[in-house]
Amino acid sequence: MYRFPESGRGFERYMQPDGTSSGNNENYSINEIKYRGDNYASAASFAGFYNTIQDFYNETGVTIHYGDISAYDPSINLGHSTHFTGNSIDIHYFGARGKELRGANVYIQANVTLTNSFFQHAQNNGFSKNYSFGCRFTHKGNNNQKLHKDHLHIGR
Amino acid sequence: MKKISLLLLLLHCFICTNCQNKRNTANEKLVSCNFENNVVDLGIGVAVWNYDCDKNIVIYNDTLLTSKIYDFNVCYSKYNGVCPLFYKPDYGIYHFVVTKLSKKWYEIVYNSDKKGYILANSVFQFVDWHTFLKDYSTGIREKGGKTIYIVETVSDDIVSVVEEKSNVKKNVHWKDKNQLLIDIFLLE
Repeated sequence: MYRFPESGRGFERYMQPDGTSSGNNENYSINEIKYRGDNYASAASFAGFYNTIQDFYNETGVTIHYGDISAYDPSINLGHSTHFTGNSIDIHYFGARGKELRGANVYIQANVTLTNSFFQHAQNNGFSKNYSFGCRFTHKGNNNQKLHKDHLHIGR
Repeated sequence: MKKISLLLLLLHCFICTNCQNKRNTANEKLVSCNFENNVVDLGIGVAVWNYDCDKNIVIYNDTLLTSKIYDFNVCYSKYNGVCPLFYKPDYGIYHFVVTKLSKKWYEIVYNSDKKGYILANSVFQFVDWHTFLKDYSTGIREKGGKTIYIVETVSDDIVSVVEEKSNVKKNVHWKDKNQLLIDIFLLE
């Protein structure tokens, strides 16, 4: 797997309310060596995610904020029942004008047009196991996942 | 003049090194807090945080809830030095083990072996272990194993689980006294 950059054109990590990067890299140990890094992607997902971001940014000018992808070692428990093989990616919902939305039930505030556009670009780049909450959004996968009130998920 | 500049530079380096050391100590504390953390007592259940960023978490030293040990906001403070059983604040997860409870407070474990008391209110919901494993987990995995199982029922230290793809069912010991024998997943 390959570590996806922390930031670049059209993307950043989840941000803190004060606007600083949460740098939400998990802490974990493998053979007593400490690691940080929850953004390892498979080659296909790395390319697909990067192209999704660029396509979305070219169309909307919106910078996305991503959370967990995978730890380098699949044995690490990042808390997800998926996200082991670098093919699942979490993204914060977008509000009006693409504002990053943080918090418990922010799917309600998400901009439907922007969110659907992002899902469409993700699908064009090979992501079909996509999750969101509340039947507001149109995409492949499951659009009423009970645990996706605070972020959306794309996967392959 | 050069000597003064050099002295100032050395002083600056000394201050920076000191700051860095303090920062490293703070980071070291955080490094030891993973998604799932060891605790000396698995207690009777879990205090599930409601992901309310408008309210502070207050930990008290006593059951009268008069002596504060910590008072912080999970969403707005990076390093609060309090490591609960499950820690993933950017996903709304900040859940403590509960060892005792009354109508007014929960006795919790943090930083592996420290005990404290939190107010029994809407910020934390007490969930007993059986309900937590069955209704809150998105899957479990035996420590060191690879297969993810869905929990169907829980009876004492045994969980009856099913593997989603193969539909194979089995029983798994989820704990041995105060040691978790499984990885617990709370997200998809």
